Amino acid sequence: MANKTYIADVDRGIYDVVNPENHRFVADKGLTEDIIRDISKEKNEPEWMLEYRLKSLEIYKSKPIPTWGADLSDLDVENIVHYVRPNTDMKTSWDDVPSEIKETFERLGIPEAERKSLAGVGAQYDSEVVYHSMQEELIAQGVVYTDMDTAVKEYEDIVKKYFMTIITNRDHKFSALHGAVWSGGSFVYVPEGVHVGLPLQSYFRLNAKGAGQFEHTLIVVEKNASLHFIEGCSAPKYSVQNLHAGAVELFVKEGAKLRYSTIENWSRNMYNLNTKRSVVDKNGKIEWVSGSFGSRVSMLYPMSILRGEGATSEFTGITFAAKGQYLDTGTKVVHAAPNTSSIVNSKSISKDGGHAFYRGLLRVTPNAVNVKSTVNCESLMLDSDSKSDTLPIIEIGNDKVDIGHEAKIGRISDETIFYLMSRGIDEAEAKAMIVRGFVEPITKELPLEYAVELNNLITLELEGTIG
Amino acid sequence: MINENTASNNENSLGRDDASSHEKASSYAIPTWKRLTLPETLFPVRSGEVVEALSVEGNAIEVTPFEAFHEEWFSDAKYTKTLGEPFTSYISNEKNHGYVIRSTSRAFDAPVVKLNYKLSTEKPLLVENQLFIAEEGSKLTVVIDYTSDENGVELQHYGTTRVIAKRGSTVRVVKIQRLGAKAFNFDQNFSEVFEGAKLELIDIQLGGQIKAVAYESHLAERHAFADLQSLYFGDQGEALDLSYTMKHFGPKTESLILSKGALGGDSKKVFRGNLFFEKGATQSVGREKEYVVLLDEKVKSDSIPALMCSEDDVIGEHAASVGQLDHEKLFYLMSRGLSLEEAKKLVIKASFEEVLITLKDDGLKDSILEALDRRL
Repeated sequence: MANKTYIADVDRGIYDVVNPENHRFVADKGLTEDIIRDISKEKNEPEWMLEYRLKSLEIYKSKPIPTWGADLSDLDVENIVHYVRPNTDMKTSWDDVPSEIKETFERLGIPEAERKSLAGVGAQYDSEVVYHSMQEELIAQGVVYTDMDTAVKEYEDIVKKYFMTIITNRDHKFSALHGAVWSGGSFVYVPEGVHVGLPLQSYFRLNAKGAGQFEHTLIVVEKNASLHFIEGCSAPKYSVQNLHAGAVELFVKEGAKLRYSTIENWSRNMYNLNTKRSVVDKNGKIEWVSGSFGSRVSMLYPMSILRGEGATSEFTGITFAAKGQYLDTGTKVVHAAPNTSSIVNSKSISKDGGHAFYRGLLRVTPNAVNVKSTVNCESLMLDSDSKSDTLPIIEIGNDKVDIGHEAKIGRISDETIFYLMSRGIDEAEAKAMIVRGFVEPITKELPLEYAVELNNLITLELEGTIG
Repeated sequence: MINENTASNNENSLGRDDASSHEKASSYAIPTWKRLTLPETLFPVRSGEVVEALSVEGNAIEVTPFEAFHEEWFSDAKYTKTLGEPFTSYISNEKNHGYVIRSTSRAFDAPVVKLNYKLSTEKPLLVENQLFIAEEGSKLTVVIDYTSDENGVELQHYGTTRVIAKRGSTVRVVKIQRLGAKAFNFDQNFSEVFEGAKLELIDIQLGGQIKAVAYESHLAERHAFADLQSLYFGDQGEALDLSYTMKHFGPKTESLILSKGALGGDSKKVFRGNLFFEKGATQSVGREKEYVVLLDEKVKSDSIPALMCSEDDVIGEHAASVGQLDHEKLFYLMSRGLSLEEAKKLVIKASFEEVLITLKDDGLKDSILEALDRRL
């Protein structure tokens, strides 16, 4: 019997540092019309937004908790604080951000990354964005990168046109909840023809205990423009539940290109029920890079709606489920126009009783002829206490398609290790190489500092010999 | 939302119908699968007679009417990917035909049982209940052919087939359904495969307007092997719901699902392939392959291949390919003087050949190719 390869959990050291809670405004627990009115008043929002929130609350109350995926019976939404305003306003210089909040982001390496390799940064702490800044030359080109609250007021026309149009409050219970209590998030507008060379990054940090984070990210990339946007998430560990039900709406116009990278490392008490969708117009391209490492329960299926002829989408995802985690992730692609194409590449690792579930949808509508798509799912199981499931749904509505799908489940094969050892590599290194090789297609898609972080996250502890 | 888990539960639950025109206790609603959007109809409740021809070749075999069945021999309750419990009880209560077929001892040649059910206007309903048992080390082949000479008649076949492959046995079950364009075919198959036993299932669906076929095989003990090959053809106005499940319980078990089909007209097809690796199924291998050729722009083809894995030391794979016929092959054949239609027929028949060859019966193979020819 071969000894198993042991791979350490993601090191959570820097993420679990807890700051004392020091807030200007904390909404009551639970969800009532009064709380919604309070949040809206606190934000000084236009009337139409308050109406939308109240309507969403009504829908939220009428919808059942979904039962088809993760077990959400422990999730007690009534006991979650839906709005926590940190004791600061939004700043445009890190020097003005209160020191404890600044230190948190320093530990996470955000200001350093900003200096080195980013064109702009937004940082959200609990329910509000505390820092936002972008390079001068991009401002001059008309690029807008700000927090959603500001956008609602200053770019009301654009927000009104796009806000909650791909993800509506009628989609499911948590999108309704989001519509009711959303707060914070980033707004990006890239004008026609502008290429944003360096990535923009928003970092979402939830410090408050027993709270929810409901940030809304809205990105519009106009005709022939391009953007790379990075989203990072983390929270320290508490014994009570936290809930993240954000929404990401991406609009990729004709000939435009958007890459949306996410590294999610929520703490293990988090219910991550996030919704992300994009619509892509003619010859546009959306690229998703998605890493799911944290949370207790995740249900996350970024969706690409290819509605313009020649639009393409690419999804690259990795999920690492360790002890106590149920990560139900995947992607949805809807080919709604002719000559569209998509690639899905998903990898998952499960260990120590973790449960990784790939759930995907590929739909080709009857009018979408000459569609090409390949879907690849690979799962690596590191022990037999873990579980790994794959459920890709393929729905095809016409005959002029070329669809390929492959999935594999297994563990590190003894033969591969034997081969590498026959080349003079010791067993521990051989196993490490295989795991690194397994995640490599994902790490190479990540921005450098994240790739380094990912490699650090997966520290290998190896032992044993081949049986 | 992707809600396949609940969908499959809902889709499989057949509620009893409350319509007053039918007696409550004796009527059963046909499942209205969400994905096929079938109209709700009722399973007929009437005593029917069937014309059947039974031939038995070989020794060491017992064939008795299904009435000999004892419930402790086989429990349907263990099977989850079925056509639904009400369907199972409908079969049990309303069955009008079936056998317990048992191969008793080791033999060099497998005894072959051939069953031919012929349905017609006079005898349009077959409610079938079968149990096949291969005792330790024995061999058994059962070939069931569902046919009709009348094409436009509403014929109905509903059935449950159970297979027990005991240690070291070899079992082949071949089902060929060519009931004509208006037939309903709802058929579920449960198999239990024990240590070192080998089960081969071949399912060929050529006729029928609505076809719902479920196979679930349990590889219960070490070195059990199960292989399911299926062929289907769907044409104008037809709907197919195919559910193939392999559950690995024992170590070093092996399973293979190979499904090949062609869809024309506005036919709709749902394919569900489920591979389960339960804890303890170490060093098991499960593979699932689906190839679909789409012949018409109005077809609808859904595929839901699932891999459910609770054991790390296994190999599980599935692959699917959906598309049109290879243009280069067609071009080559046409350059040799074949018309486009002829070339298409030839390419489809050639791709079906891979499954048909495993029938090991040239007469049967030819008659299937002939039937396919007519359909194309």
